[in-house]
Amino acid sequence: MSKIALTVFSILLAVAYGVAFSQTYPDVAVTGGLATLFAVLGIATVLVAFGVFKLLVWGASRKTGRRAAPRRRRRRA
Amino acid sequence: MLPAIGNEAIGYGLYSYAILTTPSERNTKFLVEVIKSIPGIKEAAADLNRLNIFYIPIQEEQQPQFVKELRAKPANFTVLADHFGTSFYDFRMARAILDHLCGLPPDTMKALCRTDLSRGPYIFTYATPASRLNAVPPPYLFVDLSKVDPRAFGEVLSAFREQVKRDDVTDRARIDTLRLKILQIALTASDWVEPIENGVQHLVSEIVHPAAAASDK
Repeated sequence: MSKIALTVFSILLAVAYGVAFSQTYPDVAVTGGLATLFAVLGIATVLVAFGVFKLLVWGASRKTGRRAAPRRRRRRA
Repeated sequence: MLPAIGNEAIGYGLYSYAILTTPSERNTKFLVEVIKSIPGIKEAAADLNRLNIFYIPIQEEQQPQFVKELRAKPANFTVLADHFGTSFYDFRMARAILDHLCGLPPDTMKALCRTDLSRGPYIFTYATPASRLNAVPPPYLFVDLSKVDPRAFGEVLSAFREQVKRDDVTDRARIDTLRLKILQIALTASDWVEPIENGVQHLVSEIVHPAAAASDK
């Protein structure tokens, strides 16, 4: 997964956390500290989800006994 | 407003008291939320015995002055609460009510009564006027907000208002909830990550300012 995709998912998740929070706690203003917390949680969630996904793929490939296709090396000019 | 001990009006369903022990920023924030969220008793249309009257102790001799100031220039909630907390709130009466509560404390209150009770704020709800009682026999509802983040006061007050509408006012089913615990954790965590935000802001300003200066040249 590219860095851009990770960033986009992190931002989306942070926004989703913020929206869920303000729906659950309408009397609490989402200010700097809380916004940062949602951003950190968004990044952490994406990284954990990505790690779990890679682990599952690795586990599945071990079960079937197939190895992932080797990466092609770039030819040097 | 409660201008003196034992001055409660008779006939209400429940009697609640906002108990503050010292003038502080926390207590001002609590008063702001109380003023914002709890409507005046004269605005209520229900029968008296169905109403929970929420008393804020006020110094008796200062009450006319407060009413005069309120009529002259209705300030915003924060200014009003700040001014009220420093000049008009009767901390002695609040202390007296707390002392009455800790006179013969039930098991649930013993630990709290052993502390210095200087933090607060607290909300106390009873079925009858309670400021004059020397020792308040349970059951009653006592909400200790001393460990609650001030940003959560609005939510706790909202939960309190739901609680006093329940058949069993003292069961704390709306106050001791997972929802409010998660809020408390989130607010504490947000305090921890605040330095990250400040650091990022500082870093951005460090990067942006030299770049802007270079482009000006």
